[in-house]
Amino acid sequence: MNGIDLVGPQFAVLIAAGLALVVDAVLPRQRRLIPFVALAGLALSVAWSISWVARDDYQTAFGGTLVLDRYAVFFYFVFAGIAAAVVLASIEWVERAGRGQAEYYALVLASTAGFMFLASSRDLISIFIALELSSIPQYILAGWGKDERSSEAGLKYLLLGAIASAVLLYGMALLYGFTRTTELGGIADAVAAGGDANRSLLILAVALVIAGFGFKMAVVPFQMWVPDVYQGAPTPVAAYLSVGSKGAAFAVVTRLFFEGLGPGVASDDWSMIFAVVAAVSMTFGNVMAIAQTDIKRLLGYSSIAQAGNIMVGLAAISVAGEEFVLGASGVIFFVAAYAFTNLGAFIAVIAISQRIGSDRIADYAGMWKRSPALAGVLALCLVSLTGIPPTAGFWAKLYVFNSAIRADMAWLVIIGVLNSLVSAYYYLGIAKTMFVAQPAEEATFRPPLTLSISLGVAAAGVLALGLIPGPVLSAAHDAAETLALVY
Amino acid sequence: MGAEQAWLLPAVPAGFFILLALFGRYLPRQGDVLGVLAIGTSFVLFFFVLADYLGIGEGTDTVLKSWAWSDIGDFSLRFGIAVDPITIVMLGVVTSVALMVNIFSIGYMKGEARYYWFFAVLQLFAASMLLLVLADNLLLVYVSWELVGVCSFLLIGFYWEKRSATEAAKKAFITTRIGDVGLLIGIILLWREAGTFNIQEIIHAAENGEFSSTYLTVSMLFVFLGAMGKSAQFPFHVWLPDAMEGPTPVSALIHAATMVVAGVYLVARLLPVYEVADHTMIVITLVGLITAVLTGFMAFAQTDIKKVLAYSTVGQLGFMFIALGSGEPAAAMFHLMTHAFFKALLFLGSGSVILATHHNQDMEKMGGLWKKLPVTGTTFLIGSAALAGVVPLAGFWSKDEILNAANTEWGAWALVLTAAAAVMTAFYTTRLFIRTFMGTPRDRHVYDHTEEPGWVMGGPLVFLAFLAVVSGFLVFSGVGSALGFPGGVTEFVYLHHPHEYSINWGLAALSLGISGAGIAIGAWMYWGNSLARSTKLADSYPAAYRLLVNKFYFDEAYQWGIDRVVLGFSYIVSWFDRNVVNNTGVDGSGEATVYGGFVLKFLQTGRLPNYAMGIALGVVGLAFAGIMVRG
Amino acid sequence: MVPLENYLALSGILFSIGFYGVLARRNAVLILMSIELMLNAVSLNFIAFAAYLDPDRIIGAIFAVFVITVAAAEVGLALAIVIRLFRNRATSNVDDAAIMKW
Repeated sequence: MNGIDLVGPQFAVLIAAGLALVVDAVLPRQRRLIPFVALAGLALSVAWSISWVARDDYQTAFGGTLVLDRYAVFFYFVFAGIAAAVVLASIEWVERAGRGQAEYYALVLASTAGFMFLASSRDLISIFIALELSSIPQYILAGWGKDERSSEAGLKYLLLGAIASAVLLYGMALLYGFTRTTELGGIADAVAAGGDANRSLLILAVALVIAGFGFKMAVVPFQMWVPDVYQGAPTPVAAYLSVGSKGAAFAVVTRLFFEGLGPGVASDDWSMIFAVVAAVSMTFGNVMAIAQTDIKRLLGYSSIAQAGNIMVGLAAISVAGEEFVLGASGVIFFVAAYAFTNLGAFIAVIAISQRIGSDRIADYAGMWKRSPALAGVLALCLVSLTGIPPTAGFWAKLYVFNSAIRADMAWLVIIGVLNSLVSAYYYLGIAKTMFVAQPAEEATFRPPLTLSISLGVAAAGVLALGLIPGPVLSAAHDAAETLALVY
Repeated sequence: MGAEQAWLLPAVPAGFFILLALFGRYLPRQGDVLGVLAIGTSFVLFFFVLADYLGIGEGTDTVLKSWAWSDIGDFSLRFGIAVDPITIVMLGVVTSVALMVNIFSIGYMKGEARYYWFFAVLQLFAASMLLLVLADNLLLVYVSWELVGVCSFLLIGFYWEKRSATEAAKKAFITTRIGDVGLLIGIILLWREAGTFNIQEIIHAAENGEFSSTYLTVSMLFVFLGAMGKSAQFPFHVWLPDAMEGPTPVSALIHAATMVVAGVYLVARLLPVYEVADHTMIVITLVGLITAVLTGFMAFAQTDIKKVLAYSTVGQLGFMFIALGSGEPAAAMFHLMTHAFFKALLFLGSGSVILATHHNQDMEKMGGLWKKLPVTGTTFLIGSAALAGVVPLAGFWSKDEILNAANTEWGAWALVLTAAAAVMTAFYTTRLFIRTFMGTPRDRHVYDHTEEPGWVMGGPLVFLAFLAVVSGFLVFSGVGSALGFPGGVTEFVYLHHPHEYSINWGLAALSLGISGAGIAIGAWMYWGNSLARSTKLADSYPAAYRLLVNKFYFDEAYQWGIDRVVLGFSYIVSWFDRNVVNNTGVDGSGEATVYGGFVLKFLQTGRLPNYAMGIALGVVGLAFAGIMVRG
Repeated sequence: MVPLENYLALSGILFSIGFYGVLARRNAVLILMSIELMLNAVSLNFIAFAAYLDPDRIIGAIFAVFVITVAAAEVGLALAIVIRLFRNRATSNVDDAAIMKW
């Protein structure tokens, strides 16, 4: 029982996934219940996480391959929240798609459990398995739609994802060869003890690992799949990919570079490279986004730019010294803020496109007149993505930029701020289209109840994090400190 | 209720904003009364703050109150309020003008679509502006700085059915955003060295020489960039005249009396730092001078009543920057206050004219309206005289202070330029008044349908006219003592140099001469409904006239620059399209071709092997870079 | 005994051939086979390291088993998606699956 208790939050999610399939088989007439089974499982997971927070007794499990610490629990909350929002946002769409309702939710839950395992893994093997547990359901989900675009998205995502996995594994194999262990603490010791012998082998190994995770984080030059897959995949799935898979990748990379290749060990070599990747990703994503006419594609490019922003925090972590907790907490907070913001934007897009049947930005003209609530929330989320106060995105950017400044990378911050200016152009361009252009038709509409709820939660989150960031920031800070405790 | 509770001033309108935005449309009268109530409460609270503040010590201390915002490790942020004389002046200006504008809007906006939304955004604006002036740290300043920008964007674009309104809103937002980014960079740079956002602490750090001199200069110039953008100083002056597309009460509140002076306020706040930073004071002065002179010329040839006032506003803001650059925050704040009253009066007056003539803004169709609009006409005359600097109205005293400051600090050349700008002000103000209210009607139809709006609009005009007459007297020690702050406003608002007001008779005479000359030229040229003289002048210098009508071609030059950049890209892309890609998937819409994809876009071929190649190159690149860095 | 370097070189060559196949092939099934080759190179690496360097000689082998398992799952899924594509568009050429670009 103790083992199950330690993975309780994941366990609850997986049970719900199984239960969804059982309900489908046993009560075929009660399919409407399935999403609520999923939500109940997520609620149980959250409750379990809360109980761990209350117990404040963090420990490792399964021979040290998994660890239950504040860092992991923080992400449990984030991923459970993401999954709940995606489930709520999917109900309409899945019912319309008509088939395999139970499987859809089971896959979402399974990959959520994968994300949670990723956040708590402290061993290369468990990292790999958790990564695949989260990825394989995503490949299926991306190809869930019946149209050509969706199957193309699924194919591209799967094949490129498999290549990225192979690259990642090759890196892990070299790391294992170099350190003779797969456990992150052991890796840290071996790397520290290894001195400069075979250093280039280590560098090659780390480069391959970064490339493998870079695919999931969607940073340049591993980002090419992003716009195609976001555009082709069903919109709820695109929402899920944009926040879940990116967040989990950053969660695991932060832990890997903290605990395994931590400050003073190997990651100092990488600070500058992370910084350059961050700068290139921001610039590339923003410049490309300007040229887009499809909102899902635009959000895809914007998510590349945002990944660059998060990576600024990663570049700051790598610098040894007192500031490294700052970079890590910046990354963590950014992931949480980004989850609310981007989900809000995507859910608004889902609601709008269900009504107008188009993803073209031009068709959003005058949306404010047709559905003030939707346009308002979408605009709020776009403002947050731009990083304008008083929204979550402002604090997120401020925090990662702050950590970069402390790490003496003012040039990176200047690039980041200039990029915010560029991004304002297209984010606010959408807002302008919605608020000031003439609508093609006048008929007003309201989003369905489930979407309204998830939209309301996302908007409230964006504003709450924007107005009182304190509690979540301290939680992020504590989470980052548990990583630092290893030293 | 004392100065420590000054945070209530923004909190009340903020609460009402939420109420109005959510439920405004269901309330009786769409909640306009609640709007007035909200800002009226703030106005009343202001007097409590003022009384409490004047009661404390010498009346020059700063009242501070702050709360932890986020306190994480060694990165701690506090937000708080600071009440000092500069803040007090701003609070008074913002609450009084906002109250008048709210009342006026009940009449002006009657029957408009989205009536509740207008009042809701007005509350949000008032809250953000009050927060901006109360903030004790630069981060909070930045937050509210952006918020007032958003409100301005929403209100300029209020008539979004009109294409010009949406264009103007966009232009205003983007132009000021360039400045905003400068401000943010400046704040970050200051914070990096000082380790704090707190304004007082930054001032201390600067005075104790904790910054290296070049670093400080660069950071402060970035901050000044933000101020230039918000206060529409050259070369960012282009957005303000276009912003006149918004409803006229908005022009009065945001684009004359409050938001646009945020830049002046910020520089005044940080003036001790500017004084330490090398070369920044002369930059501020020069920007102010150039703006004041340039916009004086631009206002000559405008025939839209609101545009004349807009250029005049930009020019007057230039005057304030001259005062700041000359190291006289007191003069700048004094002029800020008097200007807020008389310019709000003029804008509301023009709003009254526009409404009375059924949305006509063209002076060429007016004339002789005084008879039809006695209240508006009389108050407008008072406002114009104050703007022109006629003794003893408010504008005379504050402009005199600025001439004095420029003369003392920089000498004759600055005095001459400032004086020239002042002559032009008096001239175009005279032209504005004569062409609108005097002579004989030029458009019978418009004239016959003109009628005086009711007292809901007349009342605020009279109140502001009263302030435009008397607020100048605050400069006298006697008046100040009677009200509780001995030494008058220039001694009340001081940072380093308490500046006792003593009249410089020579300058006062000059100042009087300036306004007299300007008015005389204006009257000579436009008296009695005749355009003969001005037409003759325009005909004899056609090139100069064209230059003025086209506002020195600034908009065209900017447009040209933007076109070169954007179209340059799209030429490259279209060439690439024709010769390389052939089957582009880009939609044929105009927007798509203009932005039609920077060359980069074509990296994204949609083909899987190319994407895999990206991964391969990335791996090789990372490994290579890693080995290079490792050396 | 065969030196470790030989295994590593073989693994590196296999991986590179696999990657080349991914880049050069247009048929989705052939790309899948190339990916398999890459994964096999990885497994070879793990087992070689386990045999030569790891005192327990076991972790690498366990990792290899997991890699094989996951690879099997991925291939099964990939074939299903390729068949879907083939039904939709009567092709398994990945160049034809490029309606979304730019």
